[in-house]
Parts: sequence; C-alpha cells; structure tokens
Amino acid sequence: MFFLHATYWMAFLLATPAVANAYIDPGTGSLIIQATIAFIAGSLFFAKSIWRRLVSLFRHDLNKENESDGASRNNKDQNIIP
Amino acid sequence: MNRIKSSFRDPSGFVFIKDGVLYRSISPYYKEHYGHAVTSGLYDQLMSKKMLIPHHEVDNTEHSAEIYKIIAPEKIPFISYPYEWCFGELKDAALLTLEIQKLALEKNMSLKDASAYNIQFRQGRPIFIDTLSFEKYEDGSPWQGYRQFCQHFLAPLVLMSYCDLRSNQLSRIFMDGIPLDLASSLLPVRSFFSPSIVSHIHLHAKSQWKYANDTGHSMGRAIHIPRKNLMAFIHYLESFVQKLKPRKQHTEWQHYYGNTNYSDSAFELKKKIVEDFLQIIKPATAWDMGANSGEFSRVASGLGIDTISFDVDPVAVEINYLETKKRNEKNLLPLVLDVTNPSPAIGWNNEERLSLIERNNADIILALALVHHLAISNNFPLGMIAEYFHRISPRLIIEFIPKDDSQVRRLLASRKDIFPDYTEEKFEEEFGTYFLIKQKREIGGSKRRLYLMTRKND
Repeated sequence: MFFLHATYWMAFLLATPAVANAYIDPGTGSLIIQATIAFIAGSLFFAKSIWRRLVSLFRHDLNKENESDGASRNNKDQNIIP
Repeated sequence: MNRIKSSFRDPSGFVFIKDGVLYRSISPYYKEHYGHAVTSGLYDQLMSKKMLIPHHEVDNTEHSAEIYKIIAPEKIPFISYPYEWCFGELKDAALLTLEIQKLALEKNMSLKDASAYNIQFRQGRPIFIDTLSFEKYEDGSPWQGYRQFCQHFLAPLVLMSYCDLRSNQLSRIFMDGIPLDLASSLLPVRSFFSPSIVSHIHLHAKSQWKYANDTGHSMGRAIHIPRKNLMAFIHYLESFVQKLKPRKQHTEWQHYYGNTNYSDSAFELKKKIVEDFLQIIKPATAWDMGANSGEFSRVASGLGIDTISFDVDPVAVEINYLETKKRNEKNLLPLVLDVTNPSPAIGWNNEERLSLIERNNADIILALALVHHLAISNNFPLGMIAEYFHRISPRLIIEFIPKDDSQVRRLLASRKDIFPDYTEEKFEEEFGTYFLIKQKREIGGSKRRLYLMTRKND
C-alpha cells in the first residue's frame, strides 16, 4: 500500500506538463495523472499476463487462456517518465 | 430553426428543432471524424447494441457554411438530468460511457468528452445521445474525457458511497460535475485507503492546482500513452466503478410500506381503485409523485402507460430502479425529486438545463399518500397544493388522509395542531376550485379517500 502511494507521488512529481488540443479543457494535471495511472495499469496487466503464462506451464487446462492477453506481446513502447 | 440553448460548446455541430422535429447538424470540422465513425462500423455497432441513440441522415436544406450534414436522432420522450438520478442510474451511465470508450478505441476512435449529460434514459436503460462525441484516435494520445469523467461520474458516485446518498445534489450546483478539490475535501479519511480514490480524486485534484499556473514551462512535449496502457487504464477504471456500492444509510422512507396502517386487503383494494381510474382516463403518460419504491407506479406502467416515479428518498428510488432492471421494465423511470423544491432551470442565463415544469409531459398525476406531508409537515395550504397540481397536469388521482388516521397523527405528535382547515370537506372545496371531482371512493377499512379529478376549463 505504501509502496503504491510512494510510486504515485514520485511519478507524479517527476512528470512534465504537456500540450493538448481539445475543445474541452482536459487539464494538464489530468493528463499527467492519467499517464501515471495508465503506466501502472499497463504494467500490472503485463505482470498479470506473465504470471498466467507461468502458471499455465504447470497446468494444462489453462493453456487456452494464453493468447487472450494482447498486453503481453511487444511491450516495447514505454512512456514518458524520464 | 430553433437552436437548443444548451448546444453551443461543441464545434462539431449543434442540436436544433425545426417544425417540431429534433435535428443535429454536423459542421465541416467534424466531417473526417463522422466519416470514420460510419466506415469503421462504430455507429452501426453501438446502435445495434442499443448503446447509442439511433439516427438517420436527412437532406441538408439549410445551405449554411457551418453545416456539412444533418442527421435526425430518435427523440427521447423525457429528458432527465444526472442530479435527478439515483446511485444505480448514475453508476450504469458511468459504466456505459466506459464501455463505449473501449469499443471506440477498438475502432480507432475516442470520446472527446465524458459528460453525464451525454446520457439519457430510454426504455429503462441508459443510452448515449451525443453522436458527435467520437473523434479519431491517434495512437499514443491520452483520453481527453478523463477529467470530465471524474467530475461528472466518479466524484458523485464516490461521495454517495463514502459520505451520503444525497451528495448527488451537488451536481445541480456545478455545471461541469463536482469539482475534484471539493470532492476530495468532503471524503473521509478511509477513502485514502483506496488506491483508486487516491489516484482519480485526491491526487487528481492536487494535480489541477499544481499545473494551473504553469504556462511557458512545457516546450510542447506531449503526453504519450501507449494504447495498451490506455486500455488497461480504462479496464481498471471500469472495475473500480463496478465495485462501488451506495452507502447503507437510514432514511425516513425506506421502511415505509412496513409501517403504514394498510391491511393487505386494503392495500390491494387501493391498487384496484387506482387501476380502475386509469382505465377510465387511459392516459399515455403518468407521473407518480411521492412514489416511494414504485408500488403504485407499477399499476400504471403495468397497463402500458409510460410512467415516471418521483420520490425525495434516494434509497426508495434506488430500490425502485433495481426492481425495473430485475423485471426488465421498459416504461418506468424512477427519479429523485423533492416535490417542494423541484429541479430549477440552471446554467447560462438559467436556460441550459430545463426546470422540471418545462419538461412536463404528464397526462395524469398520482398523488397518493402525499398531500398530508405537504399540508401538515410542510405547512402548504390546501389551496396552494391544488393550484400546483392544476398547473402541471390535466388529471389527478389523489388520496386524502384525515387527521385521525395514524399516519397523520404521527406527523402531529410533536407539534401544535394549527390546521383547522385540514378536513375532507375543505379538501374537496379547495380542489373543487381547480378540478372537477369525477369519482370518489373510500379505501375499505379506513377513512382514507381516493379521488379522480379532471382540470376545469379543459
């Protein structure tokens, strides 16, 4: 719990403001928060898919679930946090 | 052509009425996005799933530079606003928005806004009505509607879950949803143990202030979010909303039907009388005011009448809404409303969102077990009550409960009886000024009376 909170704060403080074109004001802060959470969410998803693959090696009935998670493939594009 | 007052913010087009028909114009700016929404099959998919209001294209006879195309969306019979919805209705509207965003992303489109006013209720279910809200998605761009989603949906839902079910009324005061810093300041300490609330509300609120004064600092370095991360983000947002539950709070009315003094047979008899009256009038629409959880609204909707159930108690409305979902009812809409303070017109020039009376479409009103609350608890003279009902409906089914009834005695228990005119005779006299009393029946086993009235001069 504390680690999660610490991660949020660090990522948030390190991020830089941005430019956005929209007819409503998405809010600079909102975009940064979104990027932060999306990064964590994407990582969680990725970790979850790796875990599933690992477990399926030991359990044959889970093999069918292997291909369902697109997040596990080619996650080369990391995002902005320097 | 009459442009709708609330339709001005979006450069993609606007909504107008011409010869009584509702149209939506599409501007040249939106041409590309509209084309993509059509060819990608997104519109077809959403319309077939009943998630987006159906529309068809019409001939453009306007010859205006600001209009590229005109479409005619199906008209919603009754417009309701987010501050009139119960917890469940707002939650379903939020989930619909996220579901639509997911489907849009799969077709390379994204919602450019996430206002709660983009949703209406039709045939008992929420439906998206802002056809032009979709824009082409550029790989890597963030979701533009996120801030609005948090203010219009997340903040009120979380406040209703962690603080009080009446928090939704705050949406009436703020035109763009509840400000995040306000929501953050109202939430209790235990909200900080939820990582989702910390992210979407608390930190989100702080981030808005942090960058409010930042001008030239950013050298145009855009925020980039890979599509996979964005999909995961929406997924976790959705599961967070899914898990939200309304606060278990005690309200005055939730145990109402257990505490009344109706015997079962008298209850059924009352329903039968209401049904008889409705069969005489055969209205197309009905408003049940003070409907509680909709017992009598269902007498009307059961006859095929399009019915709206109004009650001030958000728990009662919630119970009613859950029941409509369980029974798959298509012609009953439960809403939260205080009869003594109905929704006013709000927004710019007090014209953007219409007052309740401006949206009035009732052929008949049910005012059962209501008048004594207005007359005794709220001190409204019977004449004023009669005048109000006369103003909003041509017909009325109304119940009079005399002073010696236990329900009224309970209201008078702790106060002085200053109501010498609260009698059956006076009731008939005051209402007789505005209405013709067509039928009067006694509800067996009690001194209560049910009336069927029609407005005079009609």
